[in-house]
Amino acid sequence: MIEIKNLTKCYGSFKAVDNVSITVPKGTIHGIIGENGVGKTTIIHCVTGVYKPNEGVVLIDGENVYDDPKVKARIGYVADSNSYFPTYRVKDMVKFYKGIYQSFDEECFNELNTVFELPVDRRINQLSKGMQMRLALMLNIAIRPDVLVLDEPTSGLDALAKKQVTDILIKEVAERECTILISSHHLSELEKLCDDITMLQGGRVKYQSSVEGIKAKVKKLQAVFSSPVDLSDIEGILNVEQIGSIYHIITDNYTQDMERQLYAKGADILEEIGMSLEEIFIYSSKEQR
Amino acid sequence: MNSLYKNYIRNSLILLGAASLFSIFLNFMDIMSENANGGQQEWIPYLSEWSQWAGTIFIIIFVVMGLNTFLHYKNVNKKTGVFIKQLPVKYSNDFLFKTVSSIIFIGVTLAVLCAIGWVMYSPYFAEGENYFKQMCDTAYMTFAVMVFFYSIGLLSQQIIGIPLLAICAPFAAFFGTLGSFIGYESMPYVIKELAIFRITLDIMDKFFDFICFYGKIYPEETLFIIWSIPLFILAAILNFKIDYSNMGKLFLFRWCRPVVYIIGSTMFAFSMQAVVNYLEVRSIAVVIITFILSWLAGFKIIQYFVRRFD
Repeated sequence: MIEIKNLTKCYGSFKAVDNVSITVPKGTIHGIIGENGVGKTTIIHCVTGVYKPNEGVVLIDGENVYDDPKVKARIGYVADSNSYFPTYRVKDMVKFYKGIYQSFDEECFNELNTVFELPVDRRINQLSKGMQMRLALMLNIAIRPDVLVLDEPTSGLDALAKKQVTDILIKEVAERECTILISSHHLSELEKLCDDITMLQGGRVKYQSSVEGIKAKVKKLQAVFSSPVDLSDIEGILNVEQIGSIYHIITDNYTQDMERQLYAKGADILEEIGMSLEEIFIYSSKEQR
Repeated sequence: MNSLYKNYIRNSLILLGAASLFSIFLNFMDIMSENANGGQQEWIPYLSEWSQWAGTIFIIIFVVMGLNTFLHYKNVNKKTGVFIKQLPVKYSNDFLFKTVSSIIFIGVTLAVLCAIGWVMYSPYFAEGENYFKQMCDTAYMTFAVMVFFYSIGLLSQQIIGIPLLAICAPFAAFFGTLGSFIGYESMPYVIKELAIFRITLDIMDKFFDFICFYGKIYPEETLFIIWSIPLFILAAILNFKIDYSNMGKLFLFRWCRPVVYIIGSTMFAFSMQAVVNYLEVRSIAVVIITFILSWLAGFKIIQYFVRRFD
């Protein structure tokens, strides 16, 4: 289980992450989403013990992760760009990981390589970005981690490899109850994969719920008005798009009172339309701007 | 020993081996050239070359260690650093790595010294002028200075986040101290007697008496080694306090900034007194004004570099 409690991380006077709390129960997948620069990678670096939080704490199964090799040994971390020793061959990295992680399972690595087909004699600097990402995934899954932290794990991967990665992650959770924390911009993938989502805005938590919970909270309404109306006085509306007499209204506080107000303003028809996680993200970001 | 150490040590040894071979090659070429020019065909010159080789290798090892530490920090500061820092290895290993490097450094040095010692007591060389004793003295002194410089360097690495500046720090500290001593000596007696200087200098005198073991006679090399010990210990303590998310900044600790400004500006102001002395204007007013002005100039120079690198 990952517990991030009141995490604050500053770079000089800039507060990159402000009082963020996230709990990821064992055997679940949690996604972190947000625009560039909202603090996703900073949170991940605190979870993997790279950064020391200014305030708050990150616990893995109740133990503080910062500067504790025993806890770190149970975490697999795949960064968005994995900078391994460039002159090492793939097999050297396997040897290196075997030396560092006692739990490293070479059989598992070889098994994964039957899927990903990496040339083990090739040097890291001769691998493409996608191949390096595959290597990082294989190495970090082969350490048999209790917690797997992934930062943009599918960037640089082709469609087939993305599917393979998704399948492997689901297998890790199903078979070993691995806890996974993912940060990604591929929201359609996260929507399929994650149990819970945290959406960040300006270093703070904007929404935090299950994927279905967020979808239930943020709604898109399609309303038809016979004459133009001003909806700015209705509370809880994030965004309004008008195409002729049809209004698409995005709200994170759809109540009977709002419905009553919309009818009072002359709505002839009012219906809810399903939203993808990506749409929710886009409208929430627009609202901030 | 985990793979991270092995990786560092392998890199150290490769660099060290390459440097040593290059040094041997240069000396070999030198000897061959001397022979070709009809130089003396005796043992002594060869051994004299060997002494030079020992001195050369100390310097090369020092440079190699500096470079290796620089490369390590370069990695730590960039993305590979994130990879290294998330590994289940204690951060203090960073210090241990340097200590391991130091042990290699000391080990090689001792091996060279033992070899020289063996030659010195060998019956083949028992007669004639005692070049070997001189050779050993030089070697020991070089060794002591290297260890001292290495300890200052290690301490600088722990407090300065920019590796290149940290490597320059021991030399800056050495020349800064030397300059301020020469500058202080150049000051007129009346100035030295001013209360503000007298109190400071009394404290400094007592401090230097203390660290130089006043009244006891120790050779300089022993003092260098003794001074190195607290510096190594201080560096180790600071290593535990480093917040690695500050890596890449000029100073890893907040207190370093005012310390550098105050000590740096003061050293610069004292050093400038040596220059003022050339003007042969010995009035108190001139000394005080130039001291204040050069203190401010030193402050501005430091400020320029701090802003440039921080």
